[in-house]
Amino acid sequence: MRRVLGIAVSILAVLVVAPAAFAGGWATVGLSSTPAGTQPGEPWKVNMTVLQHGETPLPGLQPTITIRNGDATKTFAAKPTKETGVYAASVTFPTAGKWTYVVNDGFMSGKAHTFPAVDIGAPAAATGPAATTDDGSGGVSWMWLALGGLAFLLAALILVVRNRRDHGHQPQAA
Amino acid sequence: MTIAAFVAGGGESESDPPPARSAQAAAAAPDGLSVWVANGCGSCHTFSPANSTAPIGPDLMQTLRGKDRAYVERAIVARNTDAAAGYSVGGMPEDFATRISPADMQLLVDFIVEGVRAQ
Repeated sequence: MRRVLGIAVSILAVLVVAPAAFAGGWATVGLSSTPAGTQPGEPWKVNMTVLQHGETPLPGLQPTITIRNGDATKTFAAKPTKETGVYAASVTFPTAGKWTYVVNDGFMSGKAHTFPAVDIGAPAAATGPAATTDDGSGGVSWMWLALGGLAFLLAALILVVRNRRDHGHQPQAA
Repeated sequence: MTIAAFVAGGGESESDPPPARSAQAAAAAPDGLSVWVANGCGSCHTFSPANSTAPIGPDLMQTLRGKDRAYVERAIVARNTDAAAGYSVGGMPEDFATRISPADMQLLVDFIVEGVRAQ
């Protein structure tokens, strides 16, 4: 009898608690800006508005933003602002490239909010073509060709000089 | 049907009108994606053009297929009109009509409609 009562209480507890937790356990996160246009090493200052059910500002949370590019991952903590439910973060992308970023709202389930990947440090225009060409493999090949040509000319010059000297030292006919 | 229905939509709502939360974002980056991001749409909806995979609300790529702009806007601002299959009416936040400016709303609707069409 006691066992049956225990099971009944457990089922009742699940029925009461689970829906309440499910109904109240999610929040939306709105960002004041996207990191588009941010350069590597520069801070992206963003405010995150966390709203329970998309409506009620949630105070007392510790949201984070995690950025990722391949194996590189960094997490930045956000701090509460004067406005309830709004948290400020300063995010710095260390290098250029395609980065993803995810916000963890810090509310109950700590749900991750995803956003489109962003191209950090995307070139505004084709800048510095000379530098990239010089550093490329094509530049190195031309350098080796030039060195090879120079070595060939030097060898030819040595041969000519030696040939003339040999002719010059030939014993004179008696 | 609306994109506004949530499975787990709670009953809480604010008695005071919320502050204009999207105004700052809209001024900073006026495009449809920015409005989407500013209003936390991706926290509830799956929508591949925004790289969002949230399961709370309907997958917009599915439920908005073939829908026009007027339908999409109504779904955002009129939370009690109807709901997508499997979702209850009234799941959307109730204040998008006031929280999102008319100009931002057009950007948001364009972003969603074009994203669905592009699939």
